[in-house]
Amino acid sequence: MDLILTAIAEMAQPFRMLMLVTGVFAGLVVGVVPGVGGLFAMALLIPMTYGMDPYAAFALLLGMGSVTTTSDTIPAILFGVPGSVGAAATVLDGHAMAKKGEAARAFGASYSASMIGGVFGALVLALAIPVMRPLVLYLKTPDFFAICAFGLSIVAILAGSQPLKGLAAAMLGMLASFVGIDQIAGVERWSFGQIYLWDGLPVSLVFLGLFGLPELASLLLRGSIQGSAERPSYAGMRQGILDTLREWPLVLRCSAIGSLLGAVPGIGIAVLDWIAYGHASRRPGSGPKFGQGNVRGVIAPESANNAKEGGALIPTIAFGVPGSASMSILLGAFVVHGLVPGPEMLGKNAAITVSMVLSVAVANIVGAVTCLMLTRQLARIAQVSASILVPLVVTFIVIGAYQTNMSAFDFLLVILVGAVGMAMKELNWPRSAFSLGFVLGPALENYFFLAYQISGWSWLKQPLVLVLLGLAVAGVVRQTLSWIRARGRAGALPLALPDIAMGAILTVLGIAALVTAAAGFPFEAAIFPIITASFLTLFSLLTTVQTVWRWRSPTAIAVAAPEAAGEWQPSGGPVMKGNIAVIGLCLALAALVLLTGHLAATFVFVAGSIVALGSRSLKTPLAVAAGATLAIYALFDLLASQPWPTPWLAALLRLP
Amino acid sequence: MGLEITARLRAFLFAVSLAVAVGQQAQAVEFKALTIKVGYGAGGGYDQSSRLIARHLGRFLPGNPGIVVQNVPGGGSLKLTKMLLSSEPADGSVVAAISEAMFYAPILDPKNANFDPHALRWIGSLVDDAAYCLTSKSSGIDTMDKFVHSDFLIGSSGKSSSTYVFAALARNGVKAKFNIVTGFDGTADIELAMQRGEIAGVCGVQNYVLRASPDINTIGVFGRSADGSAPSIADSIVDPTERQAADLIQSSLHIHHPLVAPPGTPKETLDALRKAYSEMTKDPAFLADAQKLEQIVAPTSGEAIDRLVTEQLKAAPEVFEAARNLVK
Repeated sequence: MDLILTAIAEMAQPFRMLMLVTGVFAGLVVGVVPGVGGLFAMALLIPMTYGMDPYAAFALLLGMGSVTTTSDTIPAILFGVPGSVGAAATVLDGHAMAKKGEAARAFGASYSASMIGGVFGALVLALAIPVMRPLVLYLKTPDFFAICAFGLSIVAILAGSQPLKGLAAAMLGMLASFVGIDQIAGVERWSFGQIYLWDGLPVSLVFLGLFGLPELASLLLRGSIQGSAERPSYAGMRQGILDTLREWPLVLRCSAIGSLLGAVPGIGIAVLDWIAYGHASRRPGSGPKFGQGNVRGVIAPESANNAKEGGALIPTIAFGVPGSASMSILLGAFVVHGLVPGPEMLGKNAAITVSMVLSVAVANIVGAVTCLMLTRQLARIAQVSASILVPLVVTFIVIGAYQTNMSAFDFLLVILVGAVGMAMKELNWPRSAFSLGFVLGPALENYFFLAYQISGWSWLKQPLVLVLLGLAVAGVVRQTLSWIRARGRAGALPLALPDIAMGAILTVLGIAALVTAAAGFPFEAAIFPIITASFLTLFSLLTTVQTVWRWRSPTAIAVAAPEAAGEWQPSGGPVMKGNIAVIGLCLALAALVLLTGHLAATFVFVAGSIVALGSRSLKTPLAVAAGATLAIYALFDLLASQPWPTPWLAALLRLP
Repeated sequence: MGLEITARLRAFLFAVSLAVAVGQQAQAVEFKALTIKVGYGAGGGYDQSSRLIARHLGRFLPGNPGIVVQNVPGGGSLKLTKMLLSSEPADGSVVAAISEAMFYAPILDPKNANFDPHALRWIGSLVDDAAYCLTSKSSGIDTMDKFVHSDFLIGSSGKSSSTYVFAALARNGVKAKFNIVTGFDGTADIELAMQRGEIAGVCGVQNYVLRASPDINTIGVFGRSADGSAPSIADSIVDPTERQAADLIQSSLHIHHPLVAPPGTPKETLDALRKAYSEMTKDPAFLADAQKLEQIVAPTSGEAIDRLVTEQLKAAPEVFEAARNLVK
């Protein structure tokens, strides 16, 4: 008790509170901007803390780290663009709600869920303090593998109304995650000699393309985010908060998922987000289907991803093993302030540990309240014309993508993944399943080989492993049974011919991956890709055959479960046109950035494309373009100063 | 009158040309902005030492440039090394923090044969220090003899990491029986697995905190240990060619955390960088900052690294062959 009072007294000092609030505001900004993660921001902030005392330093760093997952919801709900990798699951239902004019409600629900989740995570951390070390030591490497395998079984729930496609999508995601230099044998897998691909496909870039670009196409066609002219109101926000309170058991369960999985190294925020979403979609409750604007689909991932920070601190404080990527940077701050992770943090420096708990809790409350106050203004964006919004969002996606590696490949990748995402969205190949496969693939493979190298197969007999694997199998079996029961009840299905093409392409891709992996990789590096590619081939082939059958005999009824969770709805109108327009815009901006640099490109692109999309006056485009350029400059040159490559035109002019 | 004007004109022209000459002189070693690219992700040891250098080096460079750090992770800094050898500007605007093992990367892996380690322009390195093989007390492996003859597991991260290279060197050099587990996520992760009892130890680390722990045995050392208490592992290698190969591999320990400039960097620029680096490593403010970060500072000059690299790369092909086999 004394300890807590000491920590509160220490934290109450004005400078430390100021640092906490500064951190929160920095974190909110970082969360909103797609492509800039908390990781990068934390690396920038650490040097600023050198002159501070540890309380102030951790208040600043944790303040920032705790709330990026609160504000990354804003672009996710409004535009379908995840502000950070942790908001991808929120896109599905959050953006669907915004389209129906419920943006304010979605915000209310998500912020309140974030806040409760964040405070819950801090509580878990507080409760874990006395038992932290034995707790972390209790979990062995095979348990981590089993946790990942259990996570992957959630794919069955995310598979949607055409389960074969869902499973194929998950396998495709896993296969994509194996690109790059593998951890075990150290060989290049499908990197085609490109150094760019050595470290694999960057998650943030893949999520930007997969979720962001396809939503923009439909936004462009609709004209504005929400179709109706209903004014956003405080009533909507209140309703969202009430939704969260009404769903308190779900909030607590998902917070628990977030904080517990957050403590497992290798299970990132991108994973636990989908696990929470999958968990919630099992019982959709009243209201629309999952993927079509169910508020539970917003509440679940939002409470989980904010609870993560508290959980991830557990192994960091207890052993110096980072529970997440940003925690490994936080460890650098431990050293700077003379703190040694381990027993000292629970003894001599316990007051600092408690102050970290307080920082996480207070930051979540301040962050959520700030966002709530901005909600009405933000929800208004839902009525702004798409001809202004789309160029702006494209700018942030494309420039955000470019600053990942500062390479032209960044553009190529985000656009390519965007095109794949568009096809998946139109043809009902669930992107959620792809995402879970993509983020779990490397951890699954790595933990399997670690467990195998350490104890052969005997780890399969460990109790926790048995329980978790049993739960995974039970989940898959139960889901399969429900698919079988649902057979014959046909819902709306996408067009047959393009769907056959997609299935055939994936089948061929699966076979190609299978052959190249079997022929080209050493055994350890090949086994996971081979298994994954085989399943991909199998599922894609089956679904192709099924679709061909449906196409040949229109009366035959394909496997479909209309009441199952799914993100797909039949889209009306000339979708293809919208998709091509968005890709065209991205290409134009990418070319401009390479030619003239990111600032000039932003101005020219935003002004030009607003005019091209049908603005009558010239004043609006110029004003918006100037604003966007300033924002990009402030973010990527002032706040996060980094060396941009020399634009091609400048390089040309400099030549004699 | 006309003469006077001519004289004045001459004086003026002379002054101008002098100023231009001086300006050019100054321009050759004037730094406007410097980027330190780091071959590893944010948050690691290389990132930390690079950011430390970025805060101080500018003060010692002509023009006092602002310095920014950019992370270019990939393949244990091999990606950045390849970029450095092919596409980075050699005008003193970019330098790189890469793994010290890069100088023999083409020797250890024939796939990298297309790059020439002699082309790297070494500015200096921060740490000259031995590396150790450590085991947990609970593993029961507490002597070199048990280390060689027992069956147990040593943890490592990727195959190109120092935790793997030195574990393999120890195993193959002294014909030990232990197995190496790869795939851990850094040394903290390996340490935790030691505490859980899943593995017995780790090789190729410099961790002082760990070595001071009462639960840890120091088995042997690569290079020379500060107090000479730990036995040298390379000394136990019998075969003379293998011994020389082991020396090649552990010579990298003298040039830990190096900073390099791209090939083709002008001599004046390189000299200015080397001079600044060496002044920086003696600067009290830098040393105080380093101490705060628990960053060891035992620098080696760029010239000394050049000599070391040239010397080691002169070895006979069979030594290279032996080195390849030792780290397999």
